[in-house]
Amino acid sequence: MSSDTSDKKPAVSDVKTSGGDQINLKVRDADGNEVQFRIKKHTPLRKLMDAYCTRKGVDLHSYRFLFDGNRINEDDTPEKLGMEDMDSIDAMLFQQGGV
Amino acid sequence: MTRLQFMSTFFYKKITSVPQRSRGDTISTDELFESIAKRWLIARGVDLFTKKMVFVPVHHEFHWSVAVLCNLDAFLHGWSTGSDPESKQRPCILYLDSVRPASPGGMTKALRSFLAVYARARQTALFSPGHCRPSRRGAASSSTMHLAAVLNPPQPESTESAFMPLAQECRQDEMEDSTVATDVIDVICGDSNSTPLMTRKHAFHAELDETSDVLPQTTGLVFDGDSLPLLKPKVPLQENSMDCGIYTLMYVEYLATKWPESYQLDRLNQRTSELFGTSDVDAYRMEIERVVRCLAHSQGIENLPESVCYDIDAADMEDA
Repeated sequence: MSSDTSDKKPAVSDVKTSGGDQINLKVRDADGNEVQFRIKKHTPLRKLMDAYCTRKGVDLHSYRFLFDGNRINEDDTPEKLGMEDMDSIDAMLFQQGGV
Repeated sequence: MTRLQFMSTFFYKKITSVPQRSRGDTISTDELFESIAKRWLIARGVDLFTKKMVFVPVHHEFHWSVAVLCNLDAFLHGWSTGSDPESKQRPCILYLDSVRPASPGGMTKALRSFLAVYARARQTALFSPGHCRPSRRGAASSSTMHLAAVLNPPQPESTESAFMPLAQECRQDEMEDSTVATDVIDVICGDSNSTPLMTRKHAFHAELDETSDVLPQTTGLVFDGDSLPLLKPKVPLQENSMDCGIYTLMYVEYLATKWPESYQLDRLNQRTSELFGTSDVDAYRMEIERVVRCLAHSQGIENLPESVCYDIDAADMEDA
């Protein structure tokens, strides 16, 4: 998965071992596509989620983001959720039902 | 004791999703299932094979329905393909849908395949201490200990407070009318695992540290997908093109609250076909809206849209 230009510290092609304060997180959708982000452990994950939606060109609330099956709240941080380097986040499209 | 498990609304989507492609590496469906089994369930101490009913909300082509894995605990007691097919407590998949006669293609296979992988991962976690990745958030326990304690709880209270918040609250003898509605809505909204669960988890870790040498007596769980048939009981059907969610919630609420273990499978068909009527649905729709608004308010969400379609009769009653 290659990176493109973005002001949100998007994926990098060569994964560096993250320093003490930063970790790499993978965001993948239900089609198996994956985007990688680097984020500080104390940065609210709202930034990552917004960046992902922006990158996908969709409304900010189009996706629900899950970590180990738990919904990620906007104020959560990697530190708070116990995320580790190269952990994966699921980006699930909002499931509209109305039939 | 009724033991219920409400799966995330994204669980079904996840087990039917395309396995991740990562930097040229592909993982198999089994590997995807194993990852879900370990990280969504086992690491959180959820043991599906102790449950009487596991509710799996199914979202498929803009439509909600629900699959219920019934009597999975029978496999702990040696259930296999050769067991009595007439048994009242036999394991099965119930599929309840307010529109379609058939379940989504591949649903049964996906559920059976997932359970097979889950069963293996569960055994590994139970009998190979240290094999699984240590649990998160800095706690010392491994997932092995979570499962061990769930299967063989040191104290009933600790399990209750830690890992079956939904299930325990749904025990019929302690039911309040709105409890299941609230829980299910919570699950439907995808927010069932917010801070309170985390707090309970921490409490549970503390309990486990003192009881980590307790291992369950169960050995050799054999799960055979072929012995998990798909059943489609008759249910009330929706009469419009928008009520699938309400009907799905009503099925869940009915089974969770009105179908104790003594209600046997052979009586299910007869009972479910007369679960509720149209007027019940109207009332339930209002109730769900009330619950959603309460939940939103409690979470500081204030920008919910106003209702655009009130039931006239019910609104009159409110005014009166």
